[in-house]
Amino acid sequence: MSESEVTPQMPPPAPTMGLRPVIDVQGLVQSFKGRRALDRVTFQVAPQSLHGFVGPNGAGKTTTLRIICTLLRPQFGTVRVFGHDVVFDTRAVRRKIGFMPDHFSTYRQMTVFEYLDFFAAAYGLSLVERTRVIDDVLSLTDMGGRREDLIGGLSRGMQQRVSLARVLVNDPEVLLLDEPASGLDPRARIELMEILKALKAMGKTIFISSHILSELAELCDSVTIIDRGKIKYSGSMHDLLAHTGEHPTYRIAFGTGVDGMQPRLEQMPGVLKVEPVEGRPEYRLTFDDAVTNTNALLRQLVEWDVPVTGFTADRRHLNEAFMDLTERGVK
Amino acid sequence: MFHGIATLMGRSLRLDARQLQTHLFRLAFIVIIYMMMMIAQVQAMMYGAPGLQFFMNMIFLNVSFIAFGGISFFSSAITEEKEEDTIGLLMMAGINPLGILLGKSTARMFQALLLLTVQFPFTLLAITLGGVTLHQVVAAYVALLAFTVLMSNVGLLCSVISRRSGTAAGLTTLWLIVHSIMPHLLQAPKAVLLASAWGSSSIFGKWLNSAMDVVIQSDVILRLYAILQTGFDEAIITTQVITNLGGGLAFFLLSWALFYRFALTADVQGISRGMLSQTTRRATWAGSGRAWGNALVWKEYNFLTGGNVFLVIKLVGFLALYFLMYPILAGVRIIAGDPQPWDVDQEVVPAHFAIVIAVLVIELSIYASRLFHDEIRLQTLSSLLMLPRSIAYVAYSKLAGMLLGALPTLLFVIADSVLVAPNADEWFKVAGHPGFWFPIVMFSVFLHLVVLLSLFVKWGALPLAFFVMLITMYCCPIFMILIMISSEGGAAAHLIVLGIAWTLFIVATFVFQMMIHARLYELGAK
Repeated sequence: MSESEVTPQMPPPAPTMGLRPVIDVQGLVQSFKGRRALDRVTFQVAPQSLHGFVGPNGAGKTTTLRIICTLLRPQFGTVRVFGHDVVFDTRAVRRKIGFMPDHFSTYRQMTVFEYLDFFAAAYGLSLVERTRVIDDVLSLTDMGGRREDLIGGLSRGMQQRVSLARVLVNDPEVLLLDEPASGLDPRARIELMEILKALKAMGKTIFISSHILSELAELCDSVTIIDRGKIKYSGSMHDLLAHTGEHPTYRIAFGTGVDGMQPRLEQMPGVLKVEPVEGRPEYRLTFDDAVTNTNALLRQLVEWDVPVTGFTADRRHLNEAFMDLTERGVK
Repeated sequence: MFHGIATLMGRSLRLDARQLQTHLFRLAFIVIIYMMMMIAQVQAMMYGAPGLQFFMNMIFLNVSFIAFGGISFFSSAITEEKEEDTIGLLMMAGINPLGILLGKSTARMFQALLLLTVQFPFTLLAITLGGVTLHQVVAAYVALLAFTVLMSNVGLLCSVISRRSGTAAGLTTLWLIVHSIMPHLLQAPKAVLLASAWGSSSIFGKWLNSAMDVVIQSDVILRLYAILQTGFDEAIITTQVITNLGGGLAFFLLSWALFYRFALTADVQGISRGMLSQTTRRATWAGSGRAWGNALVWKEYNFLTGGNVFLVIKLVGFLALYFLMYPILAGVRIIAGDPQPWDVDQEVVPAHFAIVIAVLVIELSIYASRLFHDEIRLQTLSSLLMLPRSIAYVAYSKLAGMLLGALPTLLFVIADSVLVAPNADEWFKVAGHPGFWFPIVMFSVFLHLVVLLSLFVKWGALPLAFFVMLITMYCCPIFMILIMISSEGGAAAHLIVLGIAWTLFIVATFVFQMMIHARLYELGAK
């Protein structure tokens, strides 16, 4: 494969807010048996951010993660973690990162303590350091009471927490998490997200690949969307969700029992389009660009004595953005 | 039920037809047969009637193939469904246990029998080459077919009662070893029984004698040797055929009877720590304690080889074996009718040495097959390779942990060697002989092969490696040729042969280690 075969692509610039990126992926190309898995993938991850990595199955998420965490050599392009090249400075990169794969990577016959002690020792920590670090990570993951339990006997959620604790034993500055909430029940998922928030508050940079978009939207500062090996979006989560279209859009919700509002709303000045939200007394209103103040609308509604229960600038859900940006969405 | 059996059989045959390795295996089989034909051609130039030798080679290749099939192919019939968690789904699809057993095992047995059948025309060539009759060919193939039925159902039973394919393969191997050595072990007691008045006259004695006869005659190897005798004119259907077919049916029925008990309630993800203590709060000699500076050595020592508990068990066991050797050896002498059965002082250490060597071979082979395989099974390889260490460091550390576990056995091998040959001169003499180094070199290559194959196959790396080595040694008997050369010459010939052997060993080891390295990287990246 030659460099000229690479499809030209213009990914949007990544938001590192002028700071040196923690992860800097440039023009990554990877093929497997003639199939292009990654096609000039370029994005950056800012320090101390929680960066979501989203894409459909087979989009190239795990391949990208495996390259960043030095398990797979890139065929073309460069990946730097804290300025260290993943190919030429592998050990330095490994000391900076902690990778949690998308499956339980645990020794089921070990106790929680043995497992963490093993990895802490493998990272070269002294006996005293290990004792302290293990206590810390067990406390952070709320697994202190389970230190003598066999890992194989723990629930999926607890095993996932043990995996996360393992990732933390060498105090990495960047955490690479591949589908960490996959297969977890709602409680375990919420608990995991709380731990991630705590880690972010501790100054860790977290790069998380996930399918659970609602949680990513809530957690992440920035996001990269990948589809069929190409970057579709890389930037701040706020920008992605705020971007709804060419005209300002609002959502208006009415109390129960309010029907037939669509024709009345369409008659209002500056309203270009009224879309009812299925199953709810709620409408999506698209205004003319000239309309910068919506108070007139609200005044009119008060005059009509219609019970308004909600009025907000319309923000897309991450699901919508994802479906819009990825080609496999239902058109 | 028949629809379910047909579906399972169809799926099994389709899967095998799609797998490249199945076809490669068949191709290798044919290549070996062609090589045997070439050898027969060469032999025909030197002496007449090479057909018997050609036929004998083919028959014993088939025995190895069936034994290997039983250990790997047949013993995974049900465990692979357990590992995929699909037994329940098959039951929900309306296929009952009998249907599952027939559908899963019949397809495999059918493929094995097919391989035996297609080679039948080749074996007729042996008749043309001379030295073998059609009667011998038919009798040998009937014996092999019966043995195939037996092995496939032994494998099936082990597959039903085991949680994992590895365990099933181990159980089948154990059964095969017992089945192979039992007829030979029974020869001595049978002779004693016949010699005694009670054995030859009482009803129970006669019954015991007959039972021993049936066990001895059920052995396929003994039967094949009888068939290959010049002038063979016995019946085709014999005790071996009947007992093997009957045994096969009995094992199948037992598999069916035990299916609900084991196959449906099996916990594939079961956790076993052996005798390793679980407490880490306080250091106990039976526990793993805190991880060592080289954590990988610690892990392998405790969780692969069994840690301190097994270390002590082995030390005590090997010491006790010295004392146990006296009654064992005396018993053998009593059976042989030796007038001084307890005069065995000179034989204790060599016998102990032989046992310790056998234990070491088995121990290291098992460790080698599990060294990386457990990491693949538990999906922990990527976590290990993410450590800020090289793949070589990880691999050699694991190897060191494994060798530490085998330390008691190694110590007794050295101790026995010193006791057997206390003089330094004898040591130098032995160390300079190619016959001393060849087994070590071959075993080392075998261990490398086991490790490499364990990175490719889901189960059965050990029997596969054994099979590959056996075939390689047959087709390319380089060490046999070197031993023949060295035995003809003097000290200079020994040195040259040793040089060639060591060069081959270093090259083979290097190539294997590079392949293991490449495969580990590939698996880590998956």
